[in-house]
Amino acid sequence: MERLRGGAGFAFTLCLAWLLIAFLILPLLVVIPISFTPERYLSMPEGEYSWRHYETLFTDRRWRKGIFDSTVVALGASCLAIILGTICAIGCWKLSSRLGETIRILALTPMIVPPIVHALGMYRVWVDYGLIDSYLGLILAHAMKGIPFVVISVSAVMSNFDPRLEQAARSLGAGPLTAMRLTILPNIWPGVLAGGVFAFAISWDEIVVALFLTRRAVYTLPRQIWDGIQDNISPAVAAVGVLLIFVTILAVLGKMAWDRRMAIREGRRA
Amino acid sequence: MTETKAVASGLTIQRLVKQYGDTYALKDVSLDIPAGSFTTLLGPSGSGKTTLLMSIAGFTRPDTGRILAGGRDIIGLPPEKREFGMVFQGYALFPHLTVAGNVAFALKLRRRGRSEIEERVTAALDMVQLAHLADRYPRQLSGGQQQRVALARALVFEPGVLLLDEPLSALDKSLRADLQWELKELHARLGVTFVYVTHDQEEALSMSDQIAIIRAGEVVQCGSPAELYDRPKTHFIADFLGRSNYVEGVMAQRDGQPVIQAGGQVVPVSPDLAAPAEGKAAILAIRPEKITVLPDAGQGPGLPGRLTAWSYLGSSISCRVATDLGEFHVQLPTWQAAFEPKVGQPLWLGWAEDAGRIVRDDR
Repeated sequence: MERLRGGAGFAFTLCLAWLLIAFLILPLLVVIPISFTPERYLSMPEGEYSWRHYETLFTDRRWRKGIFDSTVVALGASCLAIILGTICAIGCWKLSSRLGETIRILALTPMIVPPIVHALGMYRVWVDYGLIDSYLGLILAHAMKGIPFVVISVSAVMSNFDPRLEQAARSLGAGPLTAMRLTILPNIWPGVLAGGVFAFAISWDEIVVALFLTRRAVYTLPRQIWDGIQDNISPAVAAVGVLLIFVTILAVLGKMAWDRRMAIREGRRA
Repeated sequence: MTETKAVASGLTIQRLVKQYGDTYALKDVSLDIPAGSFTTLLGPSGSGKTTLLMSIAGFTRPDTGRILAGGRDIIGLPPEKREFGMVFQGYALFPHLTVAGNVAFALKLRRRGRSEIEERVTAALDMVQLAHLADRYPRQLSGGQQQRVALARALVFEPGVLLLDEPLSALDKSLRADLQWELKELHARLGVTFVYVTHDQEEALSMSDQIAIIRAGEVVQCGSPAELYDRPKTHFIADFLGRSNYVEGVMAQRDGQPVIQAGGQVVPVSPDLAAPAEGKAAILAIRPEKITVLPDAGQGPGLPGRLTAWSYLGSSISCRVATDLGEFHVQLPTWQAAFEPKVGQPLWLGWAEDAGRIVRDDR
């Protein structure tokens, strides 16, 4: 350890690491001062600070609709993705053969196909079914994009699941569905939850598909930001950015606190 | 729970066949498991014994054949309808439930009242001496404790049959011996039919009323431990259950007595043994403890040999003797012998005429 810390080589590595971190984080932080500018256009505040753009977010009808629509769509899409993705992952695990593996890869395609191609295809089909510019239409599309993340995270926890637990439940008198509910679900929910959070985040900042599938009736936050930049370059965009960063940090801290609590409880039991 | 109300049921397995691709996991298996018996399915790994147990439990669907429980064909019933208790290999305790929660599982599914559940869970945990650990989680328990929880969980709903899939294989040797006694005692106390799968022949010999030896999807021989040990029908059984020495040769007659001619030696066999006809190949299997060491050729059957190695085991001396028919293992009780082993010394191995068994060659 001593030897590692000394020397020019170590200093160089350290510098490089900090540079990289700065490169990753600084562009994010720029939005913080901008969001407090008193001006009506994107600019760095000079001496004066103001909360007016935050106020806009909660008073302006369009921003409120953006936040509301995004919440509705992201909640709907992540719930759908959780249900379908979990069922798919459990089903593939049960098949536990080449067929299961094939289906799993198939379920990951929404993640692999370029979003623009995906959006184009969906647009074409959604038109036929009259789903353009409807909540249902966008929820379905976003659920599709969220499913791979649920499938991946649930498959990961399923791979550690002992199939004998389910058999044990059956031998104790549980039917197939009851056995699944009583043994599989209580043991895989961390994976389900993680996949759900991913699916929510994917939907929350999805723009490409939203541009294709929505017009006025459904108007999500990314759409609002996009349009905001296009026409009037309002610093409210920066304010939204700051709020999103803040919520993300809170979520990460919450997750860390939860992990620590679980670890402590685990330690106490052992 | 201590005085169980469960009625033990017998199982009759008729002509069970299960094929996976080209290989037979079960090849026409028929077996009678009497009510209240401790029946062991013994065989090497991959012999089909677990497939047989899983067919009884309902997790494997045989291609053809019937399984009767109390006279009723249960082959079409799903596992949850069969009402058999089962202890899984590795126990399969629910990690998200406490010990009490695990044991209460079957009762909750049967929608029993809260007070009844509590009472029976306590009784079941008392039965395996774990009442003080009711609030622990499985991962906080030792292997032996987990094994007992699995037993309590499988017995709490008073099944007539308990299926056990290598329940002791994960435990160390001394613990295993203790639990063997406990299982045997539990069986005697509850009177429930136990069907026990193991690959450990000592375990099978020490616990069972009946052992079915399974090899390549077939029941090779079924009987009491003493029957199988003393009267093995085939070479495989003589070898798998305990140890044996073999005299391999051709049947002949000498002075009106059946003998086996093998490698220049003539070994008389008892006329009572079901020996093959004259001129046919025959194998005589003799247990190591049924052979004695004599200074010179005696009256009965025997072989000359030379001691190549020996070891003192306390109650007995184990010897390896080189003979014209290959290496013989001999187990001599120490209380009997005025025998001082010296490596290289010539010996005469003798045994009674009816000490060996003619076994079928199924190698």
